[in-house]
Amino acid sequence: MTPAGPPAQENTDDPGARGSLTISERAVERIASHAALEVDGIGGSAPRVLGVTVGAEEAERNVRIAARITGAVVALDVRLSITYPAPVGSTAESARTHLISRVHALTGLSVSKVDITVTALHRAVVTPRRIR
Amino acid sequence: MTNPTISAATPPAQTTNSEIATSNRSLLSSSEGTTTVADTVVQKIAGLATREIPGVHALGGGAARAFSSLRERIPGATASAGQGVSVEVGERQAAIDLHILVEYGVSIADLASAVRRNVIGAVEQMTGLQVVEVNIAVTDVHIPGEEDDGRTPEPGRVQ
Repeated sequence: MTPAGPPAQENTDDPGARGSLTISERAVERIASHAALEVDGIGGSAPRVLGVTVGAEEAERNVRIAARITGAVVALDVRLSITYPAPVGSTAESARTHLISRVHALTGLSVSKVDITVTALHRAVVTPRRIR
Repeated sequence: MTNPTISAATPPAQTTNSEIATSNRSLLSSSEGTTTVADTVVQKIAGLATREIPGVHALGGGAARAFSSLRERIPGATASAGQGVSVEVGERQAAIDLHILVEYGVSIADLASAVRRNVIGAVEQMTGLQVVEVNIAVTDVHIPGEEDDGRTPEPGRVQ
């Protein structure tokens, strides 16, 4: 252990670089789920169990994200809803760019692709959104 | 008794390693006896050093945290300082694995290197062991405003 281990580690004198960093898919999913709500006109979706939607589609729910991490790259599968008068295409596109930059900034992983499924359109709520 | 130490000091002919080996040998083992640091010691130091970094919300995986929240309700018992930390301690070196929960909004890569620096500094300074690696696994993210934790800071009545 001693002859083989230390010489490799001694190349990096910086203590901040000794060892590895693993980010669980769940952590990335939760970060992305929260980050998606930072975009105007984006709401959440109903959860799905085994491909079947469970419960009602409400904008107040979480954005559903599935993340697949391969090395330092993550692919996101996103299910979200959009507030009604907003254009679906451009809103989804701004959600995509926001997710790519935010997930990269917060986790250090690069985002290879973001697949978005718009599950519902909701009418604009009269009360202001909780999260800005 | 002097012979074994001399013969043990000469074989590390690897130029890069011999200096560290001798310097650590003088700290933790000498001809007058050796110092042994238990796993628990390194585990607790690493746990406390990790918690010092802002952005680290908690340590441990789901099961460990559920158990510790149960234990916090028992009067007189406290959460373990070594929760979420597993260590391997040898005679001169230590390796540390951490399972952490981060706060939403911090850059995980920056946080990881800050944690690593603090843990390595604390362990090396207190125990004299050389820390070869600190592997960090981010298991989950804490999102502020989620009501899953029962310890949301209540505004105090008096200022």
